[in-house]
Parts: sequence; structure tokens; C-alpha cells
Amino acid sequence: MEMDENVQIFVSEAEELLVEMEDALLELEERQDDELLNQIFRAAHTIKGSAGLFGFDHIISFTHVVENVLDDMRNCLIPITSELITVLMRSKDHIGKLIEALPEEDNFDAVEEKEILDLLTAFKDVDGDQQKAEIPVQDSDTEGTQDGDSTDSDHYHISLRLGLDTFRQGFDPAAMFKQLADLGTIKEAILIEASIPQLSELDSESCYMGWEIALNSNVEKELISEIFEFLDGAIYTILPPKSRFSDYQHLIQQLPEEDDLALGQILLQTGSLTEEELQLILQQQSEQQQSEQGGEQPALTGDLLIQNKMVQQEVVEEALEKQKKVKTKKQQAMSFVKVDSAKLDKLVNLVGELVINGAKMSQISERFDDDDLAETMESMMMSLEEMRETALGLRMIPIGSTFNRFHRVVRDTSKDLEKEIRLEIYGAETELDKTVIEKIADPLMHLVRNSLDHGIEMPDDRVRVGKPREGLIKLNAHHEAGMIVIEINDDGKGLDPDKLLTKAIEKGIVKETQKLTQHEIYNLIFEAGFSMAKEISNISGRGVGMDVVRRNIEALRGNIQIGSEKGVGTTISIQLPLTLAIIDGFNISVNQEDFIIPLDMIQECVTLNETQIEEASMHNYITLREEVLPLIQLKSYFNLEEGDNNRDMVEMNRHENVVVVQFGKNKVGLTVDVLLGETQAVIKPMGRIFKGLNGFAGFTILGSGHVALVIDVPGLVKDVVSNEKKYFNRMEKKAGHVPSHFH
Amino acid sequence: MSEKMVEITLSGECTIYEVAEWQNKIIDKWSDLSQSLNLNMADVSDVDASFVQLLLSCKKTAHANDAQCHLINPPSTLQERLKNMHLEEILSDDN
Repeated sequence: MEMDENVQIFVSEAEELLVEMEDALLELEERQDDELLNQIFRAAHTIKGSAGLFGFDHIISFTHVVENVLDDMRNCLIPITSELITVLMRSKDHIGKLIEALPEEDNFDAVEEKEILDLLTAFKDVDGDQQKAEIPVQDSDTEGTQDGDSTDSDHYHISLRLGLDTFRQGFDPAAMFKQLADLGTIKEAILIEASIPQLSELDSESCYMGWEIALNSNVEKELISEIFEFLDGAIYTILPPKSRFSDYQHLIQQLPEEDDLALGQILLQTGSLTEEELQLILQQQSEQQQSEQGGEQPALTGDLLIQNKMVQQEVVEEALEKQKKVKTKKQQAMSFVKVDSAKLDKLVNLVGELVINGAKMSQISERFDDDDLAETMESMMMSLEEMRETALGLRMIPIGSTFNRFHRVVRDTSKDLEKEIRLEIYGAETELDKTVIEKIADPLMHLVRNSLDHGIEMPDDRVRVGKPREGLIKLNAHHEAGMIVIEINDDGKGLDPDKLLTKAIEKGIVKETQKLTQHEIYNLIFEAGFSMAKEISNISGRGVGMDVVRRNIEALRGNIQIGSEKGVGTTISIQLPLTLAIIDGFNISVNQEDFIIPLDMIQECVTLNETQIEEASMHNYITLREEVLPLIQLKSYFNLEEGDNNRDMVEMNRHENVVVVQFGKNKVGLTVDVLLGETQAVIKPMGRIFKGLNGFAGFTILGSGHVALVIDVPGLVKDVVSNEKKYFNRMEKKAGHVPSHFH
Repeated sequence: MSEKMVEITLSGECTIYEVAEWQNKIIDKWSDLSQSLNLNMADVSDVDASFVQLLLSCKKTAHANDAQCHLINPPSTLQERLKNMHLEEILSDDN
């Protein structure tokens, strides 16, 4: 349904505008700036205007009140205070809920709405459409006259653009004029000729007509509105007599005409100015500019005439601004296309299939000794690789939009908790796969709330320990070794390892006899059922959470680490793969079984010399360029040695290869038999039966048709460490402390 | 201004049901847009707003090509409709 699609567009645009509005409101609280105020006003105004196209009266009436308050803020009639921002935030949330409920308009929280409206009214006495003009727009010479060609708004001004289907629906504009004439005298009706296409471009059954109409009438505005209410697709604005000047400015802003309509025409057609006055204003403007250039101050005395000219200049600026916006909008429209994300998913899947088949074909082509075929294959594979990069790139979005949400969370939560907390964001432009971003939002929210609730101290407590009253939370995203790293850092009280341990022992998570490193103690907070909050608050501390956070991150093939210093602060670091679908992999084999290691994690490949082989067999580590490199023997780890019949090769492969992988700041060597080279791997998830299997990210199908397991390096290392720890714990009991390489 | 002109005679009903057909006829016959267009409407029995819009489009096209579009013998039904829609001025040759 076309209508539904349009409503969907309205909803998605309104949601974007609300996000803009929230960001600008938060910034406005920090820094009072006219442009921010304009931005907030425009967002509310556009939502109201668009809602008008669909007749969402409830949204219109509520947004109208918000808009009026914003307008008064712009005109410096209401001071910008934190309380007012809070009410506007609530208003913004309420508009969001009204939009969310669409197409239902009756389904809303009436109590909340009344509260907001009361609060808004307390800031300003809003009395609907018929507001008194705060700025005089009338020339005293023409006041009260009925038929002079003056700019005074003693008439209704109606701006009407008919919908494209008007003729097809059998509606006759002549009938509309007749109805208008029944309500008063039509002083002027100017057709918007610019919107009528030339003959070759005209769809003669579609309607492109629109008018600017001046109507002398004493009837209520509602009676005039009724004439247009039944016009599907029509856009109309009715400005009552003595409307505020700003209403005329808004009218200019929302007129649909673009560059065909000259600035002067817009002003004339809105009935704001006569041609002579427009000329006068332009002349005044140029004189003013000249006098400013000459260093003289423009005369800004208070007589009415000059005041009028100042206001009119605003109108001119408004029209200029509109022209500028039309240009920017056009440029944006040319450079962006909105695409359904499901289509992108399909594209990525198809590219994945293509990559698998491409690899297969490449292997087949090797069977034929044909240079042309080989060359074509090579060029095809290059294009395929580029295509894969591009397809995956389409799904990459900056994490900034997710980060920005936290400004509001930090603001509101810190107020609730009576704390003073500032949020700083770094690396908002860092791009990450859309799916990953969607899935990371909730865990991030939990972590930020934890920092707010448990991390940052009360302002007085902070001052007592020599910290600034205002706490700081930093969100930071950056790329590191093929992963994205997201850090949540606070300068709060940090974790107390002794308390954590006592709590963990109390809860039976660890045994009293267990010896844990500080790092391990910190990581206890990710254990199920572990909560440090003394009282359960609605911010966090419900006892579920951190373990769920860890599970969610691990489900994304990610990894979460915690670092803390008592009294200084806590940093939680999340490492995530850049993409979930297709990776550049490195094919290795261990005892003729194929494995894929994500290429981004590989630092280098080393062939061990005799000394190193000796060292490796004795200690499970080698010394590489004077640094100790722990090793994981994949062959023994995967149990690939026992019961194998193809042992002819084993002795030949005694010169072992080591693939050095890095994740975060850790380096580990994986010993393998054969290095087979780079390949593109489409990661397929493993079946549920392998759910408990650690160290694998999934599997892929190689060009040969064989299945290869994709190694999840962080997962593998963790698994090795945990096995090793179990082993050493057993050993410790028997023979005392034995150090581990992995800490 | 060009001295050559194309004359097209319109007749019968000129409403949304016929408007596309009339548009095609005009486009066919008025291929050289630098020539002025005369629309003879003596035999037109009925018009509606979509046809008025077609006339406005013809006028606009003519102006854009530095030519003229004249409405010859406009029937009373057209005059009345134009008056209702506050568009009487399109009957004048200056528009």
C-alpha cells in the first residue's frame, strides 16, 4: 500500500529528527546557541508539518504546543533552564511514543501527556492557534483598512498545494473556491505556476496546482479547514488574521516550491510583503551592508517603521535559508539512497555463495594447464574480492549513533542518582557491522549504567578524596588487529579486589582455598548471580546482567576484559570482530585437516629452527626475537595425533611452522603442519550439537569442497588457559606452585 | 517571436477522461515549439480543471520557447471555470 509506505517514511524521518532533537537539546544545556535552538525548533516543526500531511491530529496538536514554547525560547521570551530542557526531553519522548503507536492515534499515555502540557504551559501560557502577535507586523498607516494592497494580515492567508491524485479522485478545485467564497471575499488567489510542468513532462491526469490565497472572512479557522480536510494529499496552511510574523516565516520554510520560485515571489505569494516593500527591504539591506563596511552602525532605533523593516529582513533571511536548504537537501538526496537492510543481508549472503563457488572454480581451473583460463580466473577472483569488500562495506555503520544515545542516559541517570557526571565520546566514526552494532547496544547500556551507578561516587565523596565533583565516563572505539575495541572507562572508585573476593566466596562462586590473580578476581563480576550493589536499584544491581553481557559479547565472537584500580577507576574493554559474515582467512592444515585462521589476527608465520623445535617440545614456548612466545600445539590440542594412519608425513613435518596470532595485546604462536595460504572464508554457524565447543567461530567450505573449521583465536586461547589452569591447580595440590604462561 | 504558427482545433468534451488524448494530439502537432500555438476551442462543450491545467502547461511551454499560445473562441464554460479558479488572466494573450 502506497499510503502505508508513506507513513513508514514519515515514521523513520520523524525518528531521525527526534534523535537530532535530543542531541541538540543535550548540547543546548551545555552551550546556549541560537543555531541549536533553531535545529530543535526545525525538528519539531518538520514533524508537525509532516504529521499534517497524514492528518495525525494528535501529534500535530501536541507538537504545536512544544513548537510554541521553542519559538518563545528563540525569541528570548523564555529562559533556557535545565528544568525546561528536561520537560522538552519528556516532550520529545512523548512525541516518539505517539509516532511509535501509529497508525493508532488514540493509544497514548494521557497522564504523561497532561503532565507535560501542564509543565509546558507553566513556562508559557499557550492558547492554541489564535496567538497574539508579540511583534507588531502591521504598518500603522494601513491598520484597519480592508482593501489596500498592504502587508497587514487582516485577512486569512491560505497556502494550498493540491495532491497529485486530486483530479483522479474527481475533486474540482473550482468547487473549493466556491466554498471559500461562501465564507468571505477572496482578495487574491495566485496560482503557483512554477509547479506546473511543461507539456512534455506533464502527466495530464495528475494535479500540480496550488494557490496562495488571501481571504477576508470573520469565520473561525476550523470552518475554513473543513473545506480542505477531505482533499487527500493536499498540503495546506491557514494563517488567521494578525498571525505572528514568525508564522509567516514558517510558512515560507515549509513551502514545497524549490528553485523555480524566486525569493521575491515567495514573499509576495505569502502575502507578507508587497513588491514595493520587498524592493525597499533589498535596498535597505544593501545600504546597511555598505554602512557596515564603512564602519558605521546601522540605525536600530525603536520607531515602528524601522522595526517593521527589521522583521521583514528576517523574512528575507528565512527565504534565503530555505533556498540554501533546498540545495543541500538536493545534494544529499543525490548522494544517499535508503536501502532495506534485509536486501543488504541477501546481497551479502549471495556474495558469500559466490565466494565459495569462486574458490571451487579456481581450484578446478588449476587442473587445466591453460594460461588464458588462469588469467581470467585470477582477474575474476580479484573482482570477487573487491565485490565482497564493497558488499560488506555497505553494512558497516559508524558506532557514533549508538554512542550518542548514552548522552541522554548519562544526563537522566546522573540526575536521578544526584551525581554529576560527564560523558566523553571518542572514535564515534569507527565503523562496525550493522548486526554487531544492534547486538552490542544493550550490553553497552548495561555497562554504562553500571559505571553510573556503582562506578562514579557521589560528588561530595569525590571532593573528599581530592577528585573533581564531576565524574567522567569515556566511551571509546577503535580498531586493533582486525577487531574493534570498545572501552567504557570511568574515573570512579574502582573495584575493590578484597571485597569482590569476599563476596564471591560468600556466594560460593570461588572456594576459600582458591588462589586467584587480581585480573581473575575482577573478572568474577562476569559470573552469574554476582552483584556488588548493596541495594537493588532500578539503574542496575539486579543480580543479572554482567554474566548476560559477557554471554552476549561472546555470542558475537567477542571478548570482554576488565581492568580497574581502586580509587582511580575502571575500564571495561570489549573486543569484537569487524564482521560476522565473510572474512579473509589463512588456510592451514594440521595432520591433513584444514583450518582457517582469520587473517587480520595473524602477525607472521615462522618456520622453527632446530633449537626452537627443541625449546618448543620442552616448554611449550619459544623465544622469538628475544621475546617469549607461548605456543599452542594444535595437533595435540585437537587430538589429531592418535589413531592416525597417515603417519608417513609426520616425520617429514618435524620442521614445524608457527603462525603468530595477536588479539588485543596478547601474542600466541599456533604450531601447524602446513601453511596453505590466504583464502576468503564464508563463516557458517555450527549446529547446536557443537554449542559447547570452544575455540571455533564456525566452519567454512573450501574450494576443494572440504569443510574447514574457523579458529576463534581469543576463544581458543581462553580455552587453553582454562584447561591449563585446571591442570596446574591439580598439580599445585600435589607439588606446589607451577607458573602458567597465560595470564 | 516566431511568425509561424500551429493551429489545433479542439472539440467536444475536454475533461480528465480525454485530457491525455488531447495532450498527445497537441504534442504530435506542435513539434516545433518555437512556433506559436493556436488552440481553437469553438466546438468545446465541457472543460474541467485537468484541462485548464493542460492549457496552463501549453502556455508555459510556449513562453519557455519564446513563442505564444492563444486560446481562440474560448467557450463560456471555460471562461466561467477560469473565473471560478481565479485564472481569468490566462485568456489574455499576454499570459
